[in-house]
Amino acid sequence: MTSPHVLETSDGGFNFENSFRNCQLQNSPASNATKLKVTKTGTTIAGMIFKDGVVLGADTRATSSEVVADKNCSKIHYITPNIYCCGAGTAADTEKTTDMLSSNLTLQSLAMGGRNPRLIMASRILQEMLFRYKGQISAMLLLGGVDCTGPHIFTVGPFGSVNKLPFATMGSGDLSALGVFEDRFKPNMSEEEAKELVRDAITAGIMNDLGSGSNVDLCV
Amino acid sequence: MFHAGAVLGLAGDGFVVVGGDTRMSAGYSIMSRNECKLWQITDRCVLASSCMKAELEGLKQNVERSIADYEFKIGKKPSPKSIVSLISKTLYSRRFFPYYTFNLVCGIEDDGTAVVNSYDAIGSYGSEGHGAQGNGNHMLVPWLDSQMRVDPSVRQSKDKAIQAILKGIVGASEREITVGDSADIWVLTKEGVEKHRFPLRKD
Repeated sequence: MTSPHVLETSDGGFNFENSFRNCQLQNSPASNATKLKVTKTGTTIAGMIFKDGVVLGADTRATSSEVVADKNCSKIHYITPNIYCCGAGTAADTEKTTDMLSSNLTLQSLAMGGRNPRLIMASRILQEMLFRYKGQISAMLLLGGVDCTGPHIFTVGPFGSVNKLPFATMGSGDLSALGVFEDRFKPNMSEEEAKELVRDAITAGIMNDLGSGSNVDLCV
Repeated sequence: MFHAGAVLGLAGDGFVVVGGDTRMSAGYSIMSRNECKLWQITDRCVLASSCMKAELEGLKQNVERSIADYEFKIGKKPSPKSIVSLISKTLYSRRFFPYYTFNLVCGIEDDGTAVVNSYDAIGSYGSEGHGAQGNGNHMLVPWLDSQMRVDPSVRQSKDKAIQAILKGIVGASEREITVGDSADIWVLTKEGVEKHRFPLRKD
């Protein structure tokens, strides 16, 4: 049976042609060589498990080095109806990675007869792709959702590491947000308490981290 | 990424409006939300500096000492013209280990003319009637240029000048991560300095 994956995975080994080319471009002394300035989401993203599900939160500022590129961008990406993903790191990388994840999981769920995909599958697909690129894809993702085994939160780092946690924060404002979580998190909180806690955590990130700002997005 | 921020100044008819934000940041963190970037050198002359704080303190001490010397020898406070040239020489004295400061010196001369001079880190200055330094300057300089062109009466009216400076800083705080918290806006006239503070975004 052919793979239901949208992208054909490579047969083996690593392919870094483009990263060598990028390095050469960056170091080239030619005056017309453009310095690659990426839009990063210097960010605060956070997520936690409460009694019946998961609350994800994110700020809405996208920066390009020190200038704010977008004051109201959306960092909580739709993956499937039961899974959403917050993304920190290079904006293009998080967009494309989450789009690819969404397509693959939808195909997978159709192949499984319409059942909701599990979070463990989502984290596995991300992990395999990011590890294959050895960190060149700078996407730090916080996956959250509810599947047949219950609510889960996974964090996936840019090099392919995965952590399964009851609450997590990522991005440049992660420590500010984590402080709030460590202070007030309890297992089995109610939905209202959980929403307030995530909102306060992201607000701490927004106030104390220069890379985060503007508004708080919440997803339950 | 040093302590940064933004400062800007506008010279009008007989008055100068200088503005600076009050955020001191290091990397992605905020060190202080209440650090004034404007320093009153004499009652007619203000230094606005967006820089590394330690260097500014060093520069201030140097300049204060020279001014005390001047007052002792000459018997009166130096005029803004003298201070402008003093600061340029002080900055150039460290040509090969520069003061990491980006300054704006604004003042009212004895005959009432208002001047705004922008400096680079080693003392070269230009007097254009308006200027901006610091992290927001790539947005603020075009903003001030366009204000002058669109409404030259800004130079006649203190209120319009204050509005122009305030809008500039508010715009910079929206788009620059190191500018924010509050804005100090000082108005210098022959009578002295009027100080105002406006709140800005804190995120």
